Amino acid sequence: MAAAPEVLREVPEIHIRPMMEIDLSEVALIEQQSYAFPWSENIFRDCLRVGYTCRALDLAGRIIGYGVMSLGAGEAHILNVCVGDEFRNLGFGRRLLEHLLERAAASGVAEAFLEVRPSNLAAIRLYQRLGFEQIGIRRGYYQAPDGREDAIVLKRDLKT
Amino acid sequence: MDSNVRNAYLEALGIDRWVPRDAPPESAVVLPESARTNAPRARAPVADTPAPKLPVAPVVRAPVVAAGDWGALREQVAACTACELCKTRTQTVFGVGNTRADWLVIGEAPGAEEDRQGEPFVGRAGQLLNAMLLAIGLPRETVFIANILKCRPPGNRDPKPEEVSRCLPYLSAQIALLKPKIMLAVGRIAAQNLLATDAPLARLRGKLHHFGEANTPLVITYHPAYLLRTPSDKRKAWEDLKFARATYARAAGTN
Repeated sequence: MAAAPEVLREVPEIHIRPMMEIDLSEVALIEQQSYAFPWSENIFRDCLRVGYTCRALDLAGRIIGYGVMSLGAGEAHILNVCVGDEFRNLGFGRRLLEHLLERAAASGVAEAFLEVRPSNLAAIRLYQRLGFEQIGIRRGYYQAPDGREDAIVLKRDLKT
Repeated sequence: MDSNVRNAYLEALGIDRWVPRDAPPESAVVLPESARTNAPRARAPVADTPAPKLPVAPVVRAPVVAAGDWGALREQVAACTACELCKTRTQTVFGVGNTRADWLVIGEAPGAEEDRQGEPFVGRAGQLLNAMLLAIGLPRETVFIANILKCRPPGNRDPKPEEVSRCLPYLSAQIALLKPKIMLAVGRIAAQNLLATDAPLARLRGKLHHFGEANTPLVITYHPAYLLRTPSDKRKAWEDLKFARATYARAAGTN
């Protein structure tokens, strides 16, 4: 698929809204196209059912990205943030993350955590720009084509 | 007050006249050239308004459209006085976009903002249409966008049948010039008029139609103005757009 045109940056009809059950097939499709080891549709369904903060990036009824975050014990854990391949490098990932961090701050938690593959350089750069800092490594956390891959653990304080 | 004078005042004020269903049809009224100008409403030639020649069967005087080229067609539309809407419009809204586009998007009629700017689908509904098109990878400038009616019906009322029948030759000429590979009708009015049916939109969407002698694939979806009021149906609109995209891929693949 061709990359999205730059004009998408200006489109006011793109918005972030709560993910719903009916969105799950489209969400799972983007997930499959984006990850070598994707979450199943049922994992997203479980995230909805347990009340995680699940958001969809909606372009005129088409879901082009999503984010999932758990809130608890004074911490926010960002579990999944993804933008469909046609719509990358347009700032949507950043918008999703900022939205989740605002939700987390509004709910009163003090810190946000996430894990990222060391190979996912674009994501790491984005997290750093948003103020995340590395606090550790989880060895062999992810599945990888040739065995396991570590996870970099990042943290950001939400209290200013 | 004489009823003709009163009617002319109402017309000048942009107020729709309501008449009994079984009244003689309005379309029989033939106005002199002086009454068909685009003079500002406040100076509508009240005294010139002739007595209606009643009763006469409705005469649909659709314009003779010679679709030679885009410029000639555009001029003909701009000067059109085939129906009463020419008296209340600010300007005609011909259509906009790429005249070599594969996609033709067809809406209903200009609204207030479109009448002011002379371009279809501006304002919020236009932004949503742009977003709908972008969702299938089509920036607005890559398609052609036109309406069933080229002039704004006062108060955004539904187009009258005689207005549609007089205006459709222009759209037909646009289609003949553009030769689109696919047409996307947004909203009930566009869909019903293109398909000559009164079936509700819910029955027209979700299936493939064809239009005209070229048998052009025609897909129906919701009007963006409706989707602004009913955002929960945006998902169905996205299903329609995916269907249109797949239909286009097939049509383009066989040409």
